[in-house]
Amino acid sequence: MVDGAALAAFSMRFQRPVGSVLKAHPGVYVGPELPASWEVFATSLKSVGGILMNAQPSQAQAIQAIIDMGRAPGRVVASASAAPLLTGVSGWETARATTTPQEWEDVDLAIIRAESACAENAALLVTSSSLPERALAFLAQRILVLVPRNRLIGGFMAAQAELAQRLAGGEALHHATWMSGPSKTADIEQTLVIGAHGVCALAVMPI
Amino acid sequence: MSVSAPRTPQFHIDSEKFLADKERVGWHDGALWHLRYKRDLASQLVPDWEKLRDQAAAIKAHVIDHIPELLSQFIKNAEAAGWIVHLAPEADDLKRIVLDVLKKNGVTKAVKSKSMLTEECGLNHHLEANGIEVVDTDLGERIVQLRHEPPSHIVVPAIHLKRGEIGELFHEHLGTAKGEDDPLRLTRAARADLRKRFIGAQAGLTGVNWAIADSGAIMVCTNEGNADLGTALQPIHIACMGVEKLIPTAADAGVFLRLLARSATGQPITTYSTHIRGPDPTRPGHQAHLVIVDAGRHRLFADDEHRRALSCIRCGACLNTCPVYRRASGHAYGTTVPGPIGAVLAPAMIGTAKAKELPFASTLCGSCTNVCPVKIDLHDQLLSWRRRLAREGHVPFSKRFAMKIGAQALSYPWLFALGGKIARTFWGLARKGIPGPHAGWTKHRDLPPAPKQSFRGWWKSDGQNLGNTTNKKDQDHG
Amino acid sequence: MTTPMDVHLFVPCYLDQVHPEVAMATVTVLRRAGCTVHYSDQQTCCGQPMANTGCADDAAVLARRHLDLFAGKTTVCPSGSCTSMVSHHYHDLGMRLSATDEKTMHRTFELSDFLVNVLGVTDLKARFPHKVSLHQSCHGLRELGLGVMSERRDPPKLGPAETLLANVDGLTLVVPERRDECCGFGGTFAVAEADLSARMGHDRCDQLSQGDAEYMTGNDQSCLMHLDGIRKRRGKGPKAIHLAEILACQ
Repeated sequence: MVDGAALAAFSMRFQRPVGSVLKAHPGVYVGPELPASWEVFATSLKSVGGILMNAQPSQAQAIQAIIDMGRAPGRVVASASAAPLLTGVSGWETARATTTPQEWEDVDLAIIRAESACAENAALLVTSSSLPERALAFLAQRILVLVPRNRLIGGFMAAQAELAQRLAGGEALHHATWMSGPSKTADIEQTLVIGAHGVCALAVMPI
Repeated sequence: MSVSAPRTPQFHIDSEKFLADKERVGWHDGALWHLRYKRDLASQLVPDWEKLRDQAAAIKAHVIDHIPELLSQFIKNAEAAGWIVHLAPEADDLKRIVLDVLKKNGVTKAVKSKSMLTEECGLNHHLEANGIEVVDTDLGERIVQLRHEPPSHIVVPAIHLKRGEIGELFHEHLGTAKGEDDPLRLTRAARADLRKRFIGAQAGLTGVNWAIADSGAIMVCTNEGNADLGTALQPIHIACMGVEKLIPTAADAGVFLRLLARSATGQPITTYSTHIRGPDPTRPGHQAHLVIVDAGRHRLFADDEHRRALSCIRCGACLNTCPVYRRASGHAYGTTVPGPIGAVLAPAMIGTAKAKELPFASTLCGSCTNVCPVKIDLHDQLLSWRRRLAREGHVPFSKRFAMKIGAQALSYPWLFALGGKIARTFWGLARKGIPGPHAGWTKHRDLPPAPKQSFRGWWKSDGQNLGNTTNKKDQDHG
Repeated sequence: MTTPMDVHLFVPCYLDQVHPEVAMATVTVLRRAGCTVHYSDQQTCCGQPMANTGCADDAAVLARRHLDLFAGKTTVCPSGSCTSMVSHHYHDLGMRLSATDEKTMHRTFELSDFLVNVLGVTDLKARFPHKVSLHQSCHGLRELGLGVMSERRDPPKLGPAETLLANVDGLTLVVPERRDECCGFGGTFAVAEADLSARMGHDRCDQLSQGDAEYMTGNDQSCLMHLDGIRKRRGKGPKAIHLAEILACQ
């Protein structure tokens, strides 16, 4: 625990003088309502280097095609929350609960389930509740994110407000990440390179 | 391995050095303008852009006025979530605390994602001097780390370098082929090398974008995924944050998340925007430390005229748009944070005497103020620092003297008129070069031809009596 | 334009001595717009060089003179930055400002702003059959708001200079790439950081040369003087001409 006296001394340095007029919080910002449209999502996703996949001709066949696209002999690992969605698909394993996440180092394709998606910026939400196997989503070379079709939110203000309530409201979330496209960098001469440290490719499939 | 302690900035000398390579200046200017251009495109797609900036500015103003309250609320929630919270009043405290944690746990290898705060405090140097290997994992930071130089930009740290230079560096350190300068292949080589380091490290250090008071979570945003790989694998996470990073709620973070990446690189949001709260429950024994740092921020806080500069979210937009930064490069500023915001922060952080050149490294064009997502009035802040510097005697005597004499002479219209007349008489001789303190003008420019008479002369002889005069634009023999 | 308006000319110091033709053209334009022009030769300088160097006390001496001389008058100035100094920055100098001072500051206008937004005059019956690129000077644009700033997402509108130029007979307006990039003048910056300033000026000259522009214009002669100095030294690029001079041409 932080020592009370140390905290008091630290805080004193940032105390406005008695009698200062202090600025109130401006209130919750809602912003304009943006359409919860998969078309808008697709445009945003494309702009950040991701690919939107349709569950056609069937969900299982579409996922199978993505798995088979991989350069063998990579491992395909599905998060525990995604596994139930993979009936009828072959060539994958379920992520075991582990204390040494390094073991996913050689994963070629990770299949995970996002809790929601945001059209404004193509961000996909994964948290410790849907993805306790957090490292899997970053160590894999490629990632397929399955997201419930009815969990698309238009604007990011609304999307983040929902998460904010969960974080403040007592849900024991350890981590929550908005992922928008595959990892990328432009640190060498401003040239965009997809695939920095995280995944080199990201596909999204509404389910 | 790392850069030594910050030195006294010498903007004039260092910017001239950079300017000497004309081709590189043009390229540097273009690369940064490209970021500004992408920022413009991205902001055009946001219908409430200006309102969003207003909201962000208002949240930050509220935060700055309520740091003690937010801090105790945050610490209470953070400790409840399992964070081990440390307070670091000075940069030395940060260095001591981090080293202690690492030593106690026998850490010899650490990875670090981008943190301007630890850069500012010289953390890497301190850890390395004490036998701990610290690897910067942001690609740009890794590049400048291998070159033993500081970042030249807060978002794109290696923007001053060309691919060929990076290729050579990687050939030497990462064994890429000689002459290889393809950004994709160079990035892949760094990926392969750093992946091993992420996996082998016993601790991960990160910065903090926001610390959320009502939940005890912090946020870290990267495009490369390095903050996530640098926290999800190692047994220890140490997050270092400046105290100004507090915000009331995660909903407030939504406002900043919509602004940050668009302002920085033109992306709609950073690729990975991660909230982390305490140790990872799936990894027994995982430790999560949080160091809350002052390191001079209270001096800025105590300064009524410049306190609002604490609002900065380090997006780099003011650097990208600054016509001076684009042509001087970040290293000329000699501070961890360069550009307009750097020149505003430096006098408070390192002292007016050391930073005296920086507020003058600007034309006061005001573009920085307009791009700032949290609406810091940057160019006015630079101007107010100039007044402070003059009051404290940090403006060179020659300049102050010239201004004093000027103000006195200009208080007498006859003296002004006489001076003008004399100057016009000798003007012709000086067209290609004037002596004295204004030699800088004719170093690069011709003087305009001397007019036969001044406006006041013309008004007295003709102007006041004439009707409409016709214009003749033919006198200029350019 | 039915009632003639009394305007008091505020001629920036360097314009008076080095570029009288710009102030002369300003007189022409204001008279053509139906104004009665007054000028006091007691004026010297608004104090901007001192203020921008941080020497607030020295600037305040000149600011006091200026405010007393123009007390309560409608003042017009053919320079965005000098206008902005009076209307926006006299607050920064630590001087006591009376209600009359505030009114004087408030009634100080940049020429194109005055013509279009105060008088409502948009066509000065000028003729200038050339390709002209417009340099939006920073203080006129970003402090006085004389146009849409490229950084901001405000509703589109035409600035007063663009409005006036659109009605000049024969003129083709060229909008340069990076339409409101700084030219690098910056007052004493032009001398103190001469190399940087010159590099910015060179780059700006290049941008203003686009579209085969023969002239570059703007509402601030200080920027134009810097750009023209560079243009002459390097021997290429469009010639500088102040907006008032174009509007005075017939």
